[in-house]
Amino acid sequence: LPAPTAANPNILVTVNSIGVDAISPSILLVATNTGLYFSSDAGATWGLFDTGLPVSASGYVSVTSVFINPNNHLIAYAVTDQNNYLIPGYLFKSVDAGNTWTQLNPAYPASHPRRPLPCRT
Amino acid sequence: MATLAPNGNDLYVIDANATLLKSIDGGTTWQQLAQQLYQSTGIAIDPSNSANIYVLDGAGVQRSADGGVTFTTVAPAPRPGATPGIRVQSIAVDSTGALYLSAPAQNQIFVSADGGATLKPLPQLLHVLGLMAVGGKVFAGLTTPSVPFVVKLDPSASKILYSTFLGGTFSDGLNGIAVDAQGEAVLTGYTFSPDFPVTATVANPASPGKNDGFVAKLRADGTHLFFSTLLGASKSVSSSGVAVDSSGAVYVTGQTSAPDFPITPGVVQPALPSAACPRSQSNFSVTPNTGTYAFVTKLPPDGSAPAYSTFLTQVWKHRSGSGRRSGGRGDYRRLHHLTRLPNLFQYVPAGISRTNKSAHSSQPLRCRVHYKGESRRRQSDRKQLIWAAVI
Repeated sequence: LPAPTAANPNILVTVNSIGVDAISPSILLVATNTGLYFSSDAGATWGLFDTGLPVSASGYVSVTSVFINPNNHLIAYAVTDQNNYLIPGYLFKSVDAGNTWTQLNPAYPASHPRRPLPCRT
Repeated sequence: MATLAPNGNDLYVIDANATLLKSIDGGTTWQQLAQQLYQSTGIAIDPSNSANIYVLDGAGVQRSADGGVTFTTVAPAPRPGATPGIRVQSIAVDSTGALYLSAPAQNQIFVSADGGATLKPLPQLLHVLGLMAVGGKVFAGLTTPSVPFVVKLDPSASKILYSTFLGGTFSDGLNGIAVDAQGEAVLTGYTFSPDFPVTATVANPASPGKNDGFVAKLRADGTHLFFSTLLGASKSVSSSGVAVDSSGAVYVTGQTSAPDFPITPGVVQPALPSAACPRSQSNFSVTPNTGTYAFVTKLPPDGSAPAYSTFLTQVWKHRSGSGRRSGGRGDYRRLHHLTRLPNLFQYVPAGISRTNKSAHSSQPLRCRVHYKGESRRRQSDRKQLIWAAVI
C-alpha cells in the first residue's frame, strides 16, 4: 500500500477492510481512508480502483468496507465514508471486479431514497 | 453499514434510519427488517446458519435468530449506573458459527459458541482493534504498542546526554517528569506490560487488561534506575503528574477507577465518600461519582513504601446543567496542576465541604463529606487540608 510521498508527506493510510477473492485468494480489494486498492498478486503490487466512488470530506475516497462475492468475483460491494463517520456512507456495487463502481440506493417502500452523489470520473 | 453474507447472495445494509435492509438480488430490491439499530458499526452473518445475524450498535451486540426480523441484546454496552458491559469494537463469526468480539479497552477477544449467551475470553491479546472473517476464519487487526522514552539534552539542546526507552512489551506511556536538584529524572505514567522494569510494587492485584501507574527514578546519567515502582489496584491506575521536593520525596497524582487503590491510614480522604446528597434542581442535578477517582501519593526518596497515599476525589459527578463541567474527570484535571504546587500542598476539589453558588441554581450547593464507618472523632484526626484552590 502507498507510503508517504513528497507530494503527500503526512499521508497516513488506515486499512478499514479487506476483501479476499474466494476463488483466487491472491486477488485482494483493500478499503482504506485514502482509496480502494486492488492487488492481483497477494499484495506485492497495488493499484487504485476507485472510479465512480465519491471523494469524502478528507479529500480522498474513503472506503470503510469492501466485499467480494465468493461465488462470482466480478461482483463486489463497497461502503464509503463521507465525513469521518459523522454522516452515513453510501453503498456501491461493481460488476467488473472493482474497476468501476455504481451507487446503490437501498430503499424500501416507506423510505426516502438518498440522492446520488457526484462521482469521480 | 453493510455486509455481504458468506453465501455471496444476501446483502445487508443498515441505513441512515437505523433500519436493517436485505437484498437477495444484488441490490436491486430491498426488504425491510428490524429497526432502531442505532449507532451501528458492525454486521456479521453466521456462515453455518444465515438466520443468525449479529449487529454491533450503540446498545451492544444484538443477535437475531430469525434472519434479522427481531434482535435481542447478548452483550450490552457499558452504561453508567447499569451493570458493567463490554465495550465491543468489532464482531465476526467463523465457519462454525462461533461469535468473536474484540474489546480493545480490555485488551481482550471474547468468543461465544452459543450465540453470545456465554462469552469466553481468549488469551490476552493486547492492542487488538478490529476483527474480520475471511474464508470462514477470523483475523484480528492489531496496533503497534507504544514505548515511552526519555531523552536528556545538554543546556544548549545541541547534544543528547542520554536517551533510553522505559517500558515493557505492551503499551506504556509517560505522563509526567520532574527533575531533582541532582539532575535525576523522576517519571510517572501507566503501563500495560507485565514485564515493565520494576524494583518494587506498592500494590498490583492481578486483573487482565488493566493498566497500572508507575513511578521511576533514573540516575543523572540515565544508566540505571534508582527505583521503579508500580501503583496498582484491582482496576486501572494511571499516574499523571509528579513533583519532587527539596528532600527528594516524590509526589504523584493520577486517577484510578479502583475503589481499592492502596490508601494509607490517617490521610485526608481515606476512602471514597459515601454521603448521600440527593439534590435535583431545575436545570442542575448531581449523581454519585462512580467512575474515576483522583489520588495523591507521596513516596520517600528511595521509592519504597508510600509516606502517604490518599484519595482526593469529588463526591459528585455533575450532569445535565448547561455549562456545568463533569466533576469526575474535572478533579483529575485539576490535580494535574499539583506539579506546580509547593512541597506542602493542600488541595480540595470543588464540591466538597464548600459552598458554591451555582450560576444556574437559586440555592447554594452544599455537600458534607462522610466516610463510611468513621466517627466524628476519627474524622477530626485526619490530616487536614490547610488551603484549597480550584485552578
